Amino acid sequence: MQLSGLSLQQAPPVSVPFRFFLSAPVFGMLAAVLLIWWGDEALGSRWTPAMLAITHALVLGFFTSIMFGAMQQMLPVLAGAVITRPRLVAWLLYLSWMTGVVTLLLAFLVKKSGLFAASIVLLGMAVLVFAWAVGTALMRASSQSQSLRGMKLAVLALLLTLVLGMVLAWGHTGNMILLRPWGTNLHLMWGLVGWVGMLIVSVAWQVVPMFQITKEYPNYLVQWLAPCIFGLLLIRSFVSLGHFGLPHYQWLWQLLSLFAEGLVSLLFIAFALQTLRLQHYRRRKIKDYHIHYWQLACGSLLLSVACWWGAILVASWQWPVWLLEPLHLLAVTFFVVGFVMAVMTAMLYKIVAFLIWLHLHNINTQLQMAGKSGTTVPHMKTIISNVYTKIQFQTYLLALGVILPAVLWPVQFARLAGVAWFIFFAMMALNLGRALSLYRRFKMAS
Amino acid sequence: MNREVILDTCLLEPPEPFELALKELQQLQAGQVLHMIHRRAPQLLYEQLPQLGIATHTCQSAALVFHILMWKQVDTVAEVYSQQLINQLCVPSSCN
Repeated sequence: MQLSGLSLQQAPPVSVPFRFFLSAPVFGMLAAVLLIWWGDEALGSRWTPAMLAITHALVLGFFTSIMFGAMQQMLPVLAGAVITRPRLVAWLLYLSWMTGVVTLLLAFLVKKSGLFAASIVLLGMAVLVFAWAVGTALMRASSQSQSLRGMKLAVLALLLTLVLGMVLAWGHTGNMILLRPWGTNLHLMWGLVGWVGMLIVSVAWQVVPMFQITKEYPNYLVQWLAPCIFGLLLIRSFVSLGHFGLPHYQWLWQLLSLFAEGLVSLLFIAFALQTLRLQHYRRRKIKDYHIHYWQLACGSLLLSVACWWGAILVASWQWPVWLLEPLHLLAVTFFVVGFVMAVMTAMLYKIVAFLIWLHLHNINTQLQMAGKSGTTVPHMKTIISNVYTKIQFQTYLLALGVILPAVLWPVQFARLAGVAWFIFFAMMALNLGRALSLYRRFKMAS
Repeated sequence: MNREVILDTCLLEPPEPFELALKELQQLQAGQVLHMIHRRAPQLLYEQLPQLGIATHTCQSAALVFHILMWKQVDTVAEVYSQQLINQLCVPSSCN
């Protein structure tokens, strides 16, 4: 796919995305501190308060904050989808989102119904502001690429995740029945596979060929993958509702469930294999950690699918039962900290370097047009140096290497994993801070 | 003096093609045409060209490669030469 409508003038101020980018690793560090504090108790079950707080700190505080920041910045630049009053939207979104996430984390940890109710209001407001601002921009976008179609579906999935999350949070207040586990499973499915998964896939159509100098993804994949995933998630949701409302048709629900989950798995396998294939035959073979992150991400995605189907087989054979819980945990771990975390880190580093370069170039052009002498804009690759990118990748390998045994043997490895992830997120905060201070130095000098 | 300055950026990642094109455009002399070969249409560059007084024409070859020809707006010699290049490079049906 070719870039269209890429525009310097339409880029919002650098402060718009950076407030989200800089806050994201803070939530990552918070998740790591919770893991160090609670240790193996946190990983004991998916329902422990610490586990719920850690997962939401990562998925909302880290992943979604980055996605919010990146979408506000990149949509106008890449797709000509301009968000009106970007500063106001960014402030409204930032304040409601950050306070909402912190309130939710506190609610999980101290189990106060008032905090759950407050988080419903704050997070609901934030997602509605985001969906309205980004949704209207996407509708008016000058480019109507397949990537944009996938992004629209991802935003829709985010809205569904929010509604399900609000219902679950309301259940925590004690005012209605807590819909566990089927409501939680739907919430998890729309959040991870719908919002995060579809957004990553839609962005990949652009960034993999552009930054890794590969051929384009095949048209059939670009055109059908996101809509098919969305449709299958809808089917899977109806199955869950049908299972709940009409329990007599067990065989039908099981068949439909296997059909939807099987096809979603096949689509993700096709995406991972195609990405690895494109990278293998890439036209410019230079050492770049961006590619290593993507290779690791695709490998993790394949392992996640394998563990998921391993769990389905174990559940249907009823043997060996002790493997069921570890396989489920490993499937989610590979997806979240293997696939999503690797892609997010890789894209964050590229986006930050590109944005700083773009804004510095913009300042330089304005200076020259005003008849003043411009300065030399630093090369994009020097904005976050290769040495720091390498150290970040090594800390990621270490953290990933420790979290996997921690899931299986929490007593021995949980706190160690917390320390490793804290180092990873601290390194990220440091690198992003360095890049921003370079931008400020240049701006003040000019 | 070469009338056609060729800049092949097919294997470069953003923003290197943009930076190299701006560098070459600063050195472009009267009668010369900058012929950039790229794997996508450089929208960021297009936005800068009017400010620099540069005219441009893009076409996509049968091999799906973009040929971007750039010359100084007041340079009629370069404009005529660029038209000849367009006729050679571009399959008529795929020209913009």
